[in-house]
Amino acid sequence: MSALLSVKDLRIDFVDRGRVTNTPVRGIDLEVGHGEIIGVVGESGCGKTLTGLAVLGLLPGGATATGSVLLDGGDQLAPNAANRRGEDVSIVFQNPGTAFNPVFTIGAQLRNVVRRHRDFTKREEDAHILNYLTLVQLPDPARAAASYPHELSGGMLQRAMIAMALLCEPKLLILDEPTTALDVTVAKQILELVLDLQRQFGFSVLLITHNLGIVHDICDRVAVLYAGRVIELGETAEVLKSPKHPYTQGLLDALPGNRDPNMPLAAIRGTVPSNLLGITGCAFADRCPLVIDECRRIDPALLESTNGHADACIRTVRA
Amino acid sequence: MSAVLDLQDVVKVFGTRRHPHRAVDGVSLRVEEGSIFGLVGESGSGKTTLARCALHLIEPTSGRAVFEGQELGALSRGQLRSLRSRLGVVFQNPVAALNPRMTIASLVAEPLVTHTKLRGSELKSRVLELLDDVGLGSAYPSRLPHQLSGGQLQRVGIARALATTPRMLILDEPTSALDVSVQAQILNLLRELRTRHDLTYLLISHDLDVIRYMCDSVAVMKQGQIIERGDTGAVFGNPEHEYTRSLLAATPGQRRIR
Amino acid sequence: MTYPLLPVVPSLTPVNERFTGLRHLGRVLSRDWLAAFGLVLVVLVLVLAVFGKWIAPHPEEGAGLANIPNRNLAPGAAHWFGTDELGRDVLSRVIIGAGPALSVALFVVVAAATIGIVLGAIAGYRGGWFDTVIMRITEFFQSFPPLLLAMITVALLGAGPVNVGIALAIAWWPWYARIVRAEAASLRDRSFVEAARAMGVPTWRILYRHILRNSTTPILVQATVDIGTVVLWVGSLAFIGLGAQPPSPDWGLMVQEGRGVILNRWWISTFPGLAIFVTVLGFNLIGDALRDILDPRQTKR
Repeated sequence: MSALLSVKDLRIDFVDRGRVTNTPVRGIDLEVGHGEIIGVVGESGCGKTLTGLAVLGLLPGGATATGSVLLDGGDQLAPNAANRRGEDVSIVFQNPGTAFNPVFTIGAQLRNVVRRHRDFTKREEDAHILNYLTLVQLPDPARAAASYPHELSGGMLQRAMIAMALLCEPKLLILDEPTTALDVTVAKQILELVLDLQRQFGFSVLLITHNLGIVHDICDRVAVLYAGRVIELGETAEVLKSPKHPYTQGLLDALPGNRDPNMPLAAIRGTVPSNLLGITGCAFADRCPLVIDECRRIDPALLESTNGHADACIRTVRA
Repeated sequence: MSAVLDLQDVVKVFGTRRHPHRAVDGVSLRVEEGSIFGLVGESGSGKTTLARCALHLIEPTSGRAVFEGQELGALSRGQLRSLRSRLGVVFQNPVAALNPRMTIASLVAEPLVTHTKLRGSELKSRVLELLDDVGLGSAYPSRLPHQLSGGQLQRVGIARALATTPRMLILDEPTSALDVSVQAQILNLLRELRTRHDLTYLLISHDLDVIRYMCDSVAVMKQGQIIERGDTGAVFGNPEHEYTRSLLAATPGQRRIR
Repeated sequence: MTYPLLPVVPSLTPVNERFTGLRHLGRVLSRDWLAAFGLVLVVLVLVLAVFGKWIAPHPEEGAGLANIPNRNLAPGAAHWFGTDELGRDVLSRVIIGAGPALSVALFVVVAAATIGIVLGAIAGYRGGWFDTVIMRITEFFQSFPPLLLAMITVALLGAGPVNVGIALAIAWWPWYARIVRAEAASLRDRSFVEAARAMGVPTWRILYRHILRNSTTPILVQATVDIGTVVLWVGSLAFIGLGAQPPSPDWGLMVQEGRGVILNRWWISTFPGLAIFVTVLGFNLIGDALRDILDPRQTKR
């Protein structure tokens, strides 16, 4: 079975008057299968959000992408990718409070999406919208449709956002930090909702997050990003239990959960490089506890070691 | 052990008389000398409002905030100002909490200029000493905030809070705007500084893992009230209140739900 | 103002913000030819204002000395802008007129901005009754057509350039007060202002370092544009006889002097009118460019 989404050597450059000023994504390879939930995890500046936007065909101004992003065979980097947005792929943003336009009702904003993609009568539109607001388990769907964004809580807005994203039955749903702006108890309900809907509709999910806990809870596979590259990829349980790349290991060790309060946390020293232009060798070398001279010379490729578990560290022993 | 900060039945009501909103609804707590006291709760639980009352950045509607035996509400403006040299605060978002047009050096120098007579080269060396104390080297003083990363800015925020050698720091979500690896650095730094300078902390956070790792005792807030309190181990190990249990259960990373 | 912080670490200065600012200015000018054009105009007017006495071909005529034998000459090789009804060289009058025009404008803008900044900053930061009172006063002032307000004031104080300056400053400060008040009110709740309060920083220093220093962009932009606008108004007041009196080389007055003969001797009114136009245009273009340069929100990544 071929993958639903296939990202090959995706590079994103920021160009200002003909000069490349930064390369936040430096060659990402990633495949998402049908019905799969994949986590894209990394810290700020690792390129995870830009990757999501590239998959959506919605790069910000000044950014140019090379490589290929094929979604169900269609080229998402082509100029006409916008036509498929909402239809084949859609996104749920981090902050539901700002993702809706404050001067229109939720129903009107959902209707806009339906109109763009479906040739429905007004009554069919209403039924369709109500159906989806019910699916996301809003307590009073009709009232939610008639509400303005400020009248709903963050959790309810995020549910409405998910309804909007699913209106045209996309094959791939991108969730960009969908619960970061929410309280933990609400966040958990939202994640359970996504899982529930995924089981019903069978769409694939690309979950962009910084939270390894969420990845652990819901993702089939995980791609760990650092400095615009996938540095580790594999089954979630496998990667979290026996991480191969020192950065993944470092991220896991830095979490304060279940640590001995008498011991300092194993922090990763230094900070993420703010500009990725002209990096030679491994981008993590300056922060890596296991760094050797070769790390600064050899550009590490993402290589498989055990079945389906790949990493981009030259020190990993591969069979 | 004596309490450094003692909040007694603090109430803060916002809104109008007809639609009052009791953001803090009768909270009492004592932060013991040398301890790290955790205040945990979700957004809207009133934890940040309580902190601002404790600092008298806003005046409580009723109740008392007592710091080092002095009731803040009874102090003159001058006394309150000088008390602030002994009660520091670190804010959640270091980008927002630092004036974007001031250099790192002048940001750290600001509390010193306010509360001490240090000027000129003495001031300069104290600023460098403070930056060194929080792990920022000599490359930073003349930079502007936008040239630093979030973690580095939070170090600046901590350096300013420490400038006047306070006895206690109120840490309002000090790491929730930061990445995991940076959060670990900052938490480690806060623990080191506490030992080095004999500090007492009131740590406010929505992150139970952070509270559990950092704090000796903890209070759980919901809708303006403390619904459970005790030793961190006891509260997290054997939560009595239903809400505490649901908070613990909702923390991601414990159980696969797919 | 004698705040000892800036020279704290001069020795450790890898990045000098002023230099990057200058470089940024250069970049904006090279891309935005309108801004560059505005700069040329403003520099021209400034040079004339400062060095007019040495540049003008007939400085004494410029200042008002009549030269009857030469009256009403059309523009030509000897008098590029022609001469007026008293035989004075119009070019010299226009050049000498730049000095008073700009100094009155500068006085008005500085005076109005000072009053407006102080009152606006306190009103915005403190809020409460002081804010209400100041804002009602500004609304009272702004509900008059400004020129009318200035005319009334001049009528009360008596004509003359100094009184025109005072009158315009009185008509003008509410605009600055409102700009600064809006900035201060939005900055007041920003985290870094609260942080400063939490550290016990005195109010006056919060106002200066945290409020005003972060409101400089709109103030500077407004002040720049206003210099041009005030030149126009000073001219307007002179035109209706309430400003400078003959034989002062005031642009507005000169336009007025040539008004009756505009069809026959167009040059007497036209060239001082053009001088006003060039000044207003130049400062407006510079004001727009300043907004682009100083506003960090519009800076591209």
